[in-house]
Amino acid sequence: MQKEYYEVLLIIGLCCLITFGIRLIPFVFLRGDKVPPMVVYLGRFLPPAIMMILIIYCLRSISFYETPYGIPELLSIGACLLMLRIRRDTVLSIAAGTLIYMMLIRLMI
Amino acid sequence: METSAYKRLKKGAFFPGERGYDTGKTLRTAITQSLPVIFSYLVISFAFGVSLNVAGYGAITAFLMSVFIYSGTLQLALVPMLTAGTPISVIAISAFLMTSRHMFYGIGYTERFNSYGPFRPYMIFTLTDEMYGILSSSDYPADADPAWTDILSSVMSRWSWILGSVIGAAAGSVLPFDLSGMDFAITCLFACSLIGQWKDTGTHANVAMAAIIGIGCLLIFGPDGFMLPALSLTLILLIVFKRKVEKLDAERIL
Repeated sequence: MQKEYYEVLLIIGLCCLITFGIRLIPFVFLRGDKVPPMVVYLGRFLPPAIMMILIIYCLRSISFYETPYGIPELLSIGACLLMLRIRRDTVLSIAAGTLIYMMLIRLMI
Repeated sequence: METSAYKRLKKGAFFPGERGYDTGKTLRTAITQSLPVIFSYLVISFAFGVSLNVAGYGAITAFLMSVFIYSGTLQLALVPMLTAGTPISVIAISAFLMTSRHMFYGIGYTERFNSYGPFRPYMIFTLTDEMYGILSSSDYPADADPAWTDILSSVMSRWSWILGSVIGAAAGSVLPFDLSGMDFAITCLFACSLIGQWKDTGTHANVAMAAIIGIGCLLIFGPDGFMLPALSLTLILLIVFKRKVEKLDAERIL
């Protein structure tokens, strides 16, 4: 059953409030003149931890039990990081990793 | 709190040039910084636009959704919900669960966001996974304005998302060439960002902990529901073990 268009607009508005509200939460709770030591600490140690979980999030649907066993993903990330180590250029490394991935998924399936 | 950059942004001096930075360099830095996200966004949002078209909605709906929601996972999930008779309450709960991970991104960046001055609300609204990746991996040349680099990156990323979805919904069919896999740039961005932050801390116990929690939660809760428990648990354990982590950091262990 297709929704009426006013319902669609209502849903868009509702989702807008939800996404903005969620992104706003830390800024509402952590305002004030002095940054508490806990927030300074989290500012240093939380972002790398979240980045690790985001990487897992990106790889969440690969299966290690069936072809291609997640090999394209792991090889491409490896290539990307190797490039980063050699050239120290983030954009170049991302381009390399992505191109290798695009090639591998076409060759390996 | 009012950082000096925020004051400068508020009082007269507004554009990078007026604040003693090179405008061209700022723009170029923003472009290189957001390029991986721009390409990935174009590809993913195009796919979203096409699926929206197939579901019976056009470019205007795609535009409205991309402008006002700006969340890839949620927008893609909304498409089947719009055509099925999913109750609005269920949509609201799904929307909350799917985007709840974004509430963790502002923590630790509150001071930095004050430097965006009048763009602060805009930057908060546009804080997606990918923008968080850009902010965490940013490395500014001396004459590029940090605040404006971030702002311009966010504007370009967002409009590439909007543009891709509108084109997808208007075209309504897949591209004549196969671009699948291009969104892997986001994974690479996160990996580079993680390595970029590697030297900022003396210990990497936090990353090791996040890896264990992330994989554990993925195995327990499955790919669709593991982010909220994984991020919550990581935050809680980081707070609980603050002294332990700081001790490891000082002694540069792990």
